[in-house]
Amino acid sequence: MKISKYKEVFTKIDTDPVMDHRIQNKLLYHEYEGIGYAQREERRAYGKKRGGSVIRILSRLQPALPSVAFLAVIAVIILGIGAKLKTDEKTPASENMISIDQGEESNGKASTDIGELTHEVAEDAEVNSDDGRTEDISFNSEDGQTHTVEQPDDLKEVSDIKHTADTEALDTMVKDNPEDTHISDINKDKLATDEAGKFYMAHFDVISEGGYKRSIPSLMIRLHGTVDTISPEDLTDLVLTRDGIPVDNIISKEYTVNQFTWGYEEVTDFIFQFNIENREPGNYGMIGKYKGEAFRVYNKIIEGTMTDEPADPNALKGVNWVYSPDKDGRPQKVAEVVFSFSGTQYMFNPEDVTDIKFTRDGVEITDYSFMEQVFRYLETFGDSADTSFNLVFNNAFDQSGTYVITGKYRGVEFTSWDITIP
Amino acid sequence: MENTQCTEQWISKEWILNRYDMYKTMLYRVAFSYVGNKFDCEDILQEAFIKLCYHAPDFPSSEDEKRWVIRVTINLCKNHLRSFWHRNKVDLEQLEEYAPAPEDLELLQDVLRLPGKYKTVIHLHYFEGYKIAEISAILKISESAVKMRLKRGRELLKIELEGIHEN
Repeated sequence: MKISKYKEVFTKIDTDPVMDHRIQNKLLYHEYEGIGYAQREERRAYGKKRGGSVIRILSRLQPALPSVAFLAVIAVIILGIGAKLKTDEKTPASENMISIDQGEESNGKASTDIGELTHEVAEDAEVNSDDGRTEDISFNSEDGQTHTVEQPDDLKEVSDIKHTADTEALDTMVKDNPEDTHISDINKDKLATDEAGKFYMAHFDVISEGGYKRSIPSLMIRLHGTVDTISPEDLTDLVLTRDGIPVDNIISKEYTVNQFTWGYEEVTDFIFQFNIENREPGNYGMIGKYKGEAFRVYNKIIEGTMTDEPADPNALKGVNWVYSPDKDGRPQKVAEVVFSFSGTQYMFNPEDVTDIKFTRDGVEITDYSFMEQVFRYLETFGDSADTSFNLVFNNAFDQSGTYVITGKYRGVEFTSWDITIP
Repeated sequence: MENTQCTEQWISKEWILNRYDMYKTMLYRVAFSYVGNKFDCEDILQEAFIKLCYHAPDFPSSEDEKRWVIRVTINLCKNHLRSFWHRNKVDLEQLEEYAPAPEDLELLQDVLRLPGKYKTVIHLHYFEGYKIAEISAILKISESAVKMRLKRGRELLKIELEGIHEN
């Protein structure tokens, strides 16, 4: 084979306009962890910050260090007092105990006293290991070096993040050090307080019936923190669109409130009903502002009213397979049969498939059955859509050979693509 | 929407479309050489662009960006082939769409049969024109490994060099 031939063949391989349109559409309206493309710059900036030098990050956090240190001292003292009281109850006659009064009065050795005190608490903490706070103490006193100003590095790092109010960094920290979650919990309260009342996200509330997205009755505005009220007047420039075209439908001034913990923080949802429930099929989107800050509501597709109408046999595009591959990507097990249709199709009844003949190397297989549930997948792009229905074998086939399935779907003959298991 | 804040946000849209136009064909070919299926390629391409648009760090140069997104695409292809349930659209018709002549079809099938590690270097070197050192940087393997894979890939594909020299 000549390399020029290779180039010639691969030059013909390219995307097509329909594919481009689909991918671009998904990129522009991509929802990833609640982040739309409008926030891309913010996310990229975060990525850059994460890759920045430790010195630069610390220099930015420097102003917060005194208050962090102060809070840490208060926390150690309070927890120390609590643990001390517990210890006193257990061993009131212990000669090794240092009274809090003594510790506070002995300014000259305050540091040592607190260090010893913390050490005692650490021992006590092991008894109360179910308590997150006692674990915290245990963490601090591992080396017996906990002092009033110096903190263990890990604690300092988490405290620093608290003052940056950088929730993503906090998340990362918690994920990286799951055992430190109790430390982060202390800081999340402060974080939630700082952010309370600020805009978090906006979503459509979608009602589904049997897997079909039927309507959008309301708009949900989520704010950080536990908030009791919202002023509807703060929501301005709202434009609801369906397939990119503005829809004349406004939200009610009335709302319902839902306060709850989402992930690790308190949030409040304010749910505004649309004056008219959005049932018309299409791709719904919305833009607007909350207190002057622009936001975008993530797009949702409404499929329309569910019908019992079976898939149109004339729209059957083909019958394919789902298989599990081996490490080289070659078929290893044939697991599902996929009926692909053009357009939006609603129902697929396996009993509509007749004269079915399932063969391996031309020899008919009779000992097979499908799961009762048929899996439906709908993909829309622009004005068109594809629907596929997957029939899942109760027992996948792994014998080598070439598999083909033929038959009729509501009178229309079909032959699947063949699939070969080596 | 006619306000400064929103206008600034729409710049990102242009950035995304610009990058899509810039890389789509190259990435599609890389993915196709791996999975040989346009539907799977579309999924991979979409995922690669999502990573580029939403997760990529800032790059010192456009060439760094290009190499990064190639590596991401290759990794997505590998993950795709490793995944337990990946859709098989065993579809000779698709291959025929790109390679209607029997000899072209045979070539395409040969390429698709080639183990992934060989076809990547073959494609990047002979089609995309990357040098061995550059492929080494993209794939994060040594230059000698790239050379070895090129050699074995050529042997498997029975490629004649026609005066092209590895650089």
